[in-house]
Amino acid sequence: MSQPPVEQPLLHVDDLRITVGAGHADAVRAVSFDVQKGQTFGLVGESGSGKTLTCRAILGVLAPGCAVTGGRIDFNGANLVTATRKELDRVRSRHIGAVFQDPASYLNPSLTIGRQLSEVLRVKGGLGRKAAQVRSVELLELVGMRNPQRVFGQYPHELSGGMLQRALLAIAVSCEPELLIADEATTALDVTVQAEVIELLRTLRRELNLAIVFVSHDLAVISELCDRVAVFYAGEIVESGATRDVLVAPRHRYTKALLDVADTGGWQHRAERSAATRDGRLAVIPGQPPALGVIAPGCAFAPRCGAAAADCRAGDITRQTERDREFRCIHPVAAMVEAAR
Amino acid sequence: MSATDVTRAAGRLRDDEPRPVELLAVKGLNVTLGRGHRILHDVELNVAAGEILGLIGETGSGKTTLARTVLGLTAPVSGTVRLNGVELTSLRGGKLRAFRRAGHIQYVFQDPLRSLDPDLRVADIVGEGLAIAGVPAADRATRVRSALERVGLDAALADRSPGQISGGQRQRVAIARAIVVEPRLLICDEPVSALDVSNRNHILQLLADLRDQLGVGIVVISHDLGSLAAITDRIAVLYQGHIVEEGPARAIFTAPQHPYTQLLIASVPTIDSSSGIAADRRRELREQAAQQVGERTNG
Repeated sequence: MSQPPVEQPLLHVDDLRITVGAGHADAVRAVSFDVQKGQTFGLVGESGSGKTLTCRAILGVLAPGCAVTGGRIDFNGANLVTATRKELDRVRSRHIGAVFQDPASYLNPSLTIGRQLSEVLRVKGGLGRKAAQVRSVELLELVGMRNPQRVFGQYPHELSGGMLQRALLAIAVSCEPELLIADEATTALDVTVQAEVIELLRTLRRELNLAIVFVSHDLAVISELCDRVAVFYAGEIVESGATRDVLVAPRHRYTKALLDVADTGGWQHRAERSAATRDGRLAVIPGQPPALGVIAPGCAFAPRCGAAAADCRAGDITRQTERDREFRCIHPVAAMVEAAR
Repeated sequence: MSATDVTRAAGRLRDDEPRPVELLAVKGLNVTLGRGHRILHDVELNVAAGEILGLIGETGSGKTTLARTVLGLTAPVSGTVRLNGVELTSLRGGKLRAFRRAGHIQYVFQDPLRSLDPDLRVADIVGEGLAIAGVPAADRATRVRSALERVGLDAALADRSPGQISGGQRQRVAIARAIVVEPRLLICDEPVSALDVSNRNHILQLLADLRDQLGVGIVVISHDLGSLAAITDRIAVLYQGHIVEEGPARAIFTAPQHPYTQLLIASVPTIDSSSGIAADRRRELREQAAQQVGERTNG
């Protein structure tokens, strides 16, 4: 379900460029997207495609050697790229929360969950000791801990991976942010726990009217959670639109290739096919993405694309727009064939 | 019929056909760690030559402990592990060393970057096991070349170090290192979870090809059910140290019997987004699963 566009998006990323290393190779080029209040926006693509760099740029926590060298990131109308450290701290502490892939590495192993959660509430939220403790227990309950009082007094090593990710989500939403950045937040979790965390993210979105930028390489997870999706390839967004439209009827050849590889027909069918005949080969995308900084003219996906023609390798590929869908492909997948499937 | 054909045929077995000759037979395995903390309960597991068995279960269910016990790295309290009729759990001293050196069981780890020595060249990494087994240098080079070719790696990569190749190529190197000693059994612990979707299929297809061409028995440990569905012949589900369900992959994935298996299968996200189950139902299945396992443990 996509939200109707409002006057000013919560997050507006425009023509973002991020360079990496001494050679100033472009790792992210001309990335633009909007996230509305309460909307879940998915970023999907292979590793090295620029999803995580984009998130880190939004949070202002790019690793040393990486820098935003062009474009803007507007949050509630204020450009974060040119913001002072103090302004950035204010936005990050109150308005943007974040969770990452490996929950155990983001908590202090020698402090209890409750101590770490109430510390955030006291420092960022300005609550007193007692109030912070009460609110912490409420938050632990909100993220689905069955015994929040007990979890409050437990250390990180006493919790499972799923519970740690819940604890981090409690910290991330503790100051009621408007935007949550979740970078591969469910990737390291067991499949049953992943389903629970996805459910929790849906609940938080509903109850806190939270906008979420959700990064994943898993199209199925994106499909379950996101209103809109942007497909990254070699540092660019090659296709974006409403998740249902993009995943049911992809227009860019790369999106189609990703879907073929992920077996959209339903994963259980794989077992039937593989049992019936061992001759069926699994779909793969031939070749590798271009190395960082190697930018050939034309479409970056052309060398791996079965439908590439001479014009794909020459000159700039302009962005095409169809209703609220955008893609950069000269020879796109036919619109109706896929939609009828 | 050649030996390869026999094992190929064995792998193609239908549900009603008799079982092929066993390769790995685990019987009544009980393992405790630390102060008597029970990790595995009466585990039974069989793998035939030319077969891929998928071992699924959540973190802490005992998958890795089971693999370590099969490798002889963890000693069981009771039970036996037999490979080709040889009881591994009773091997000691020189016999155990000789068995290990022969490399009958090989292991492929989740993260190829951490499992490969960063200072060695690909050719040395792949050839190290042969050197330990006492294979002369000239033979080694030939076998390393053919192993690299079998896993689909260009010979030009032999001189590179792990840091200079991609993630998918690294996992191929790890698999080349495992198969160069011609093992009977390959244990792959989350072999594709560190890889991108496209590379995943490359590696899964490679494992299926190795099964068909070499007749090797393969155990794939994973919590990625979609990947397992693509290549496995049989599935065993491990939950709290118990094998709660075991059978042909198609049957397990389409008609799971145990509540835990049902929970697992219903939890897999889908692009078509129609399969999600309510939180209440999930809790119910988990409680049923825990209850059934509890009865088994106490009864």
